[in-house]
Amino acid sequence: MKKYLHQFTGQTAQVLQRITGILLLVYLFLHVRTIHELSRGPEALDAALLTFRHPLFKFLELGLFATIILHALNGVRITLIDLGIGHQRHRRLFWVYSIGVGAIIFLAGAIPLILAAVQRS
Amino acid sequence: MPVQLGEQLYRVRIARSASVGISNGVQEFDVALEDRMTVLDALFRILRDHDHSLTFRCACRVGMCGTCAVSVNGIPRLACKTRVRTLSSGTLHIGPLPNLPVIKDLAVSLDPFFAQWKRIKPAFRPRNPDSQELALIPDTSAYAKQTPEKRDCITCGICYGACGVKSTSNEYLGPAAINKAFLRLMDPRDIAVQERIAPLNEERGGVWRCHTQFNCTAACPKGITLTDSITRLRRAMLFPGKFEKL
Repeated sequence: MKKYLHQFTGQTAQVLQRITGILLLVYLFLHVRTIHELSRGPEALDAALLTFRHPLFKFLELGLFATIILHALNGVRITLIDLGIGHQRHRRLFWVYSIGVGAIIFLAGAIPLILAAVQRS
Repeated sequence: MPVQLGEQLYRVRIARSASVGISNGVQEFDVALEDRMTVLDALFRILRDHDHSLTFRCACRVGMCGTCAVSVNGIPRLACKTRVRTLSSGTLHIGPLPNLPVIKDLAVSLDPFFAQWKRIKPAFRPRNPDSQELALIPDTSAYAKQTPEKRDCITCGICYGACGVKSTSNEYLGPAAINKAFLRLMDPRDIAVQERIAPLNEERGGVWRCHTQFNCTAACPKGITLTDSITRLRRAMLFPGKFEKL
């Protein structure tokens, strides 16, 4: 069965694009909800932002970073395919470009974030 | 089940129709098969040695007719072209093609597939139907140069069964019908452009529904690049008159 799974890379990419899209939508609502606190004054916004100092949100921040990278790179991959580029190499395009390059970008961004968080604590 | 020299015992799990009286819908058989044997051989061995009521379709047995299309380990495939040793599993899960109504066991009705096929007017419509001359394809045409492998469709319905969009939409034309429309639209001898573009441009059933999952391309037993046909049609349809040959 494993042998055939790679044939359906496009399906995997599409499911990931949907999941990351929904996660970004959830984040967007949370983001707008937090910014909305500004209408109640600077103190209300500060109080809302204080919630996000919790270590759990640091982990979620990394998750958000990974989600944005994956969604963006996969979106570019889909655009390239729609333009007729990379049809013969669409599996490699997903695994090397969306996942591989995405992982490198994630590590390049996540390591300084983690180090900064460790230094602050 | 006696195992002969060179044979290996495979567990074959087959989706059966409720009418057969199988409570959970799946029946298991232990079948002795040689590695070079195909899934179709396994089905015939079950039919002969285990259960005479098993229903499946086949005709040419050499991958030409597309009649024996079934789902093998979750992937739509031609039973006659799928060797058991390539499945790297001692258990075969065989079911009917997805996205099509089951008649009995592994036999499905291709009526929905051909209903969509007919919508794109698949027949060749020449410029002059009364002409007695052969309608030759010009060697220099894009149709002659770019489409040879796309003309190999055997209408097996495998792309239709593999399509993720088709599983959620009755209206979607499906990859095979779109590929056929693409071929006709590319054909410099054919004139029925607008009546083919109309269903292709439909919001719920046309080419815009494709999610470029490449399932159809990956599953096609003839290696037709169906997703390429769909995306090329999409790009061409952004520019009205691209296929207009009148």
